[in-house]
Amino acid sequence: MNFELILSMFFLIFSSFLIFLSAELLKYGPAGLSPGLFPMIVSTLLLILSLFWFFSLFKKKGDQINNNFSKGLWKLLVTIILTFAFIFLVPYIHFFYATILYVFILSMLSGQKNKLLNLIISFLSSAVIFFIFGKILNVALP
Amino acid sequence: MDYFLSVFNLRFILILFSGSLIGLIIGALPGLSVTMATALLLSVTYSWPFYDAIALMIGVYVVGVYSGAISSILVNIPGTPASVATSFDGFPMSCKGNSKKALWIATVYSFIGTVFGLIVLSLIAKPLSKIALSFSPIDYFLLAFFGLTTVGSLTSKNILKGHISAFIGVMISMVGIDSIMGVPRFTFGSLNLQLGIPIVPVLIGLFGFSEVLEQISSQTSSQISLLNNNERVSIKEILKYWKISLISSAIGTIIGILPGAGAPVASLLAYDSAKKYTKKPKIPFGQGAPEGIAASESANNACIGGALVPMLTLGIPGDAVTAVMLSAFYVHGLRPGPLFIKENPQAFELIVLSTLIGSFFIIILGFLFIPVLSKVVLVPKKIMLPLIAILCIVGAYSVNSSLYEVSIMTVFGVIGFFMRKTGFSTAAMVLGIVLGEMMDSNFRRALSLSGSVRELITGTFFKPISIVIIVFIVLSVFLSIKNKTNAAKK
Repeated sequence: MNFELILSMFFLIFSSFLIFLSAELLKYGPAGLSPGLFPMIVSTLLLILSLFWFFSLFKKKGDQINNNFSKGLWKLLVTIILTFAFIFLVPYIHFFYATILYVFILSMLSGQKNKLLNLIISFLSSAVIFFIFGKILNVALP
Repeated sequence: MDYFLSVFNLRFILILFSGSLIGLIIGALPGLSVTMATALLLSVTYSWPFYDAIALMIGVYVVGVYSGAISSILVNIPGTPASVATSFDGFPMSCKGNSKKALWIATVYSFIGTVFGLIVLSLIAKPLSKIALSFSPIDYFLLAFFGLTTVGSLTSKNILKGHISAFIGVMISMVGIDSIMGVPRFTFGSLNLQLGIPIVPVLIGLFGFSEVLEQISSQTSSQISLLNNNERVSIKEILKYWKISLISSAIGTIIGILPGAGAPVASLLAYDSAKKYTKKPKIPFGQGAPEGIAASESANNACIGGALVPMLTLGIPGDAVTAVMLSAFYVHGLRPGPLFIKENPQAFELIVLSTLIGSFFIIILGFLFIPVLSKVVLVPKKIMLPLIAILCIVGAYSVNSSLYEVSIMTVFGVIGFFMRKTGFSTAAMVLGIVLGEMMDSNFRRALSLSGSVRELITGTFFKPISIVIIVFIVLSVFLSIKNKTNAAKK
């Protein structure tokens, strides 16, 4: 099935879900002040736009979506997992060490082959960020 | 005059310069806001003489608003929400090897914008602030709606997807405790979501982190941007966008005067007007058009003068920074209001002069730092990308010292990546997020004040301000359709 068609169907379901959630909110407060009023209007407009999009795909050939994700997919996934791992681990290991590790792995993913140079850069960048943000600017670091 | 000279001396200028330097650093670093810096400085300057304290804050304010453009242009991370529109053309320009030119355009037009706002502040502060006060909730709603009509300008390909992106942005802005009824909306029981989705981590994710993901997964060249060593920037070339700058500055000043609207709205509206005004740009908007940077930077800096108008003449802050500055006035025993300029002419003159000197510091600091900053793009991608990623993390964390906000940044980075790949517009989504809350709360306030939809409509059409905004909305929609039709014919 066409990727664009799947996406438009996702938006149809998603906007319907938003309408359902907004309808739940309508019961709070008087009609004009209800917290569900504006979300209801916006999600209905979203549904109408999604319907337009869905039907327009049958009329003409849709935009060519650049869905060639597979090329760098593993790098993309590793970067996302690595970032969430950083968020999870940083309270347990110090920001300084977590940053060295993060920069080191991300540099490897970005094409840095020289491991010694990579280690030096990771250490230096972590130290510079720690010093500028943590010490000079007195910004709270994770 | 003696009194004036006793305050306005070398010490005063040095304090102003120090503030400008702080502003340059704070504004350029993602996550660190000018509001946060002025709030911190408020506690530092508590015991200082009033004029020294104000000089430091104005330095931070004026240069901080400008320097948000630096990271927008060089690494596609808007340093401040006000510089989002700068990244639309600034980063593509940088990618093509014109980072120096892009930075100079941002510098010169930030200066022009600041001076324009200042002229308005010193000449017609009082009557303008009275008009701003007569804005009712429905006018604010219409103003935000007018902002939403610029979606067409922010989406170059599929306008339908642009509008879907904007409406999703509006829905995102409604997550959290409802400001009127106090009911949690779309929070799914999460305490974190009750505070709403924070704008700064969203911006960093949508623009900065998604760029990292895109670059890592594509691996096309060894550098993110190119550096054209032969790039020569002439004054004539930079100054040719003066007409756009004046229109944008006027937009920025007007939006700045309106409390609550703010510089992000101003720069996006100015960007849209520049796109409509420029019939045949040499480089299309969104692909490195200098006009886009000139418009955005003129508008966001012109907001400074605009925001000072209601603060000084009515005691109502035009934006978050002037709200902090207002407290500095109170701390030092001054009460801005209708009689402020009459009773404290020296204070008013010094504020205007400090802002003017601060705007000259934009040029001086630009002259000093642009040659160095433009070389940032020379750093190889394998070194630059991890650094941008870490800056994104630190920037998102530093807003509220919360790892949850880093997660928000990462999630929006992934969303931004897929939006780019599927032809959706991250800029339109940001527009929706910025305007959503303003539309929602003002629409409901207007409805409750008028009693019924019928009264709301009849009341709206008989008010001059509303009529003017409606005319602008109709014109904006008409011009959008016309531009799209012309583009389709070509």
